[in-house]
Amino acid sequence: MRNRISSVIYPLCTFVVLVAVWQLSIELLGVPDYILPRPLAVLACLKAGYIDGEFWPHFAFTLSSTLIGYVLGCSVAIVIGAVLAESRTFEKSFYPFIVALQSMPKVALAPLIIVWFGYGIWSKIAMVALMCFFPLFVNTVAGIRQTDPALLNMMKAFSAPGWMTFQRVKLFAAAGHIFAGLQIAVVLSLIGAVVGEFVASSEGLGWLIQSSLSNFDTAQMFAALFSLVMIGLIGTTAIQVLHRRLIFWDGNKRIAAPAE
Amino acid sequence: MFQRRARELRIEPDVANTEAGLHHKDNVLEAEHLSVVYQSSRGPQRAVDDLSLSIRAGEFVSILGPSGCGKSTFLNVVAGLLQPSSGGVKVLGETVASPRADVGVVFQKPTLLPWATVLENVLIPVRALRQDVAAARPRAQELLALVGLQAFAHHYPDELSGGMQQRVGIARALIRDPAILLMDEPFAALDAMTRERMSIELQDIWTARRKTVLFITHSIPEAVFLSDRVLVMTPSPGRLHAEIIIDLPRLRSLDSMSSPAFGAICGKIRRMFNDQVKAP
Repeated sequence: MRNRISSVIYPLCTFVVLVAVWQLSIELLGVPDYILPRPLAVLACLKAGYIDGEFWPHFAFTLSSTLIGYVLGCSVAIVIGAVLAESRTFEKSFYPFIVALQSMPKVALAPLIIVWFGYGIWSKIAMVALMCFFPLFVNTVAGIRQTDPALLNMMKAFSAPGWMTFQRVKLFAAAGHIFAGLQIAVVLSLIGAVVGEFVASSEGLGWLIQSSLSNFDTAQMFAALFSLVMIGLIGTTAIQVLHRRLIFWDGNKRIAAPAE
Repeated sequence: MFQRRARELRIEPDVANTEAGLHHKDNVLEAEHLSVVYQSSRGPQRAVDDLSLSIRAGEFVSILGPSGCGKSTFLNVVAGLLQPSSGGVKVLGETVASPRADVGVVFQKPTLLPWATVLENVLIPVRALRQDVAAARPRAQELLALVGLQAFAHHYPDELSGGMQQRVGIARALIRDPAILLMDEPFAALDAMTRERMSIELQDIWTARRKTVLFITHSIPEAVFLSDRVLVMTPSPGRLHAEIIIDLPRLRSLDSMSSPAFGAICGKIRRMFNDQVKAP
């Protein structure tokens, strides 16, 4: 209990001190608003955005493109990863290309994706899906490959068919890795959504930041950034909770997972 | 239900082999001039060399030998997990080519699925043959009671001690009512105290079920305590060195481990290994 209170109070104190230093340094050093907005100005902007409501369509646009792209990219990656881990022929034919694609900076594809999918939400969804694909793909393959050989040998000794070993052993064995991938993908999906909006959009939190540039509205930039942080935090926390609930059997490995 | 099916499947080759005159009716397991050669970086390695043995129904036979003498290799051939280089192994008169439905294996580690309950783990061999799982459930419960884990059916493996996990492994190996139970150093990963207790429990299970057991171990007292016959194997290449009939009365207790007869047999086997080491 005491631990729980301190884990809320301590970061809260840090936050208050940081905001105070921020506000004070602006007052003392005379930083102009278009360089660094006052915390209160950001707060006012957030209030105007979310209570008066003009941020909500942008928030909804970014959230829905992120969510849809995330689910799409992750599920396609898990399926392809599983097929590749199971089939040697498939692996030999496609793995070199996937590795080559992986070493390419995905954001560089953003203009092409706009050309292919248009200015609307679909290009953002495609961008997010592309960003999510690789961590999930790589982790699914690695997770299935590192299944304890003793368990596979046991399944073989009892004449279990391949699909049963896949479904009851390999998928579960890979689940920890898959969740680590899902965790990384939350942050990457937001990058994808924002980049997509930067390149061409008329909506979204990324677009809001971009358009604030024309009149140096740094307070609005901060407000939009804060909104993105909230989406990322909620997503990451949700995946963490799911991970803990679903993957109950590898308690120690979970703590050691790099994505957390 | 599934036993009947398994027996029906067996009929044809069984007849064929009896006609050939190779299969003795009460032998559950027969190995004939079995050799296994591995290709290693140092050239071919002979793990098992010209090994012949037979095990009768209801017999408890141990293969005893130091690490690397090929005893686990032999077990893997019987389990159908490894193809011999020459010779062959027959279970109930049929040459083993792949894992069989009527062979149960207990591994060195418990190898339980950590995400499945104890009961689900015991049912894996039933699922593997696509048999009726619901019908096998009461039998699984009964086997869990036999190994003293009836209260843990819905627990997960990591909630159990090492000894308990290995007992789940024994129940799992028995679920298909196998003709022979293969045990590959099943207690090697346990601490000494648990190990002794497990030996006694295994003897109880064996007495209750009269399964044919092939038990692999490198512990002399364990082999002597449990077996009707001990086959001593020597390494490089893996050969049968001696056969020792253990005529100590059943049921054996911990006290029989400290009896002079028990000590004499253990001493005899120990000397065999020592002579082997001294020999050029």
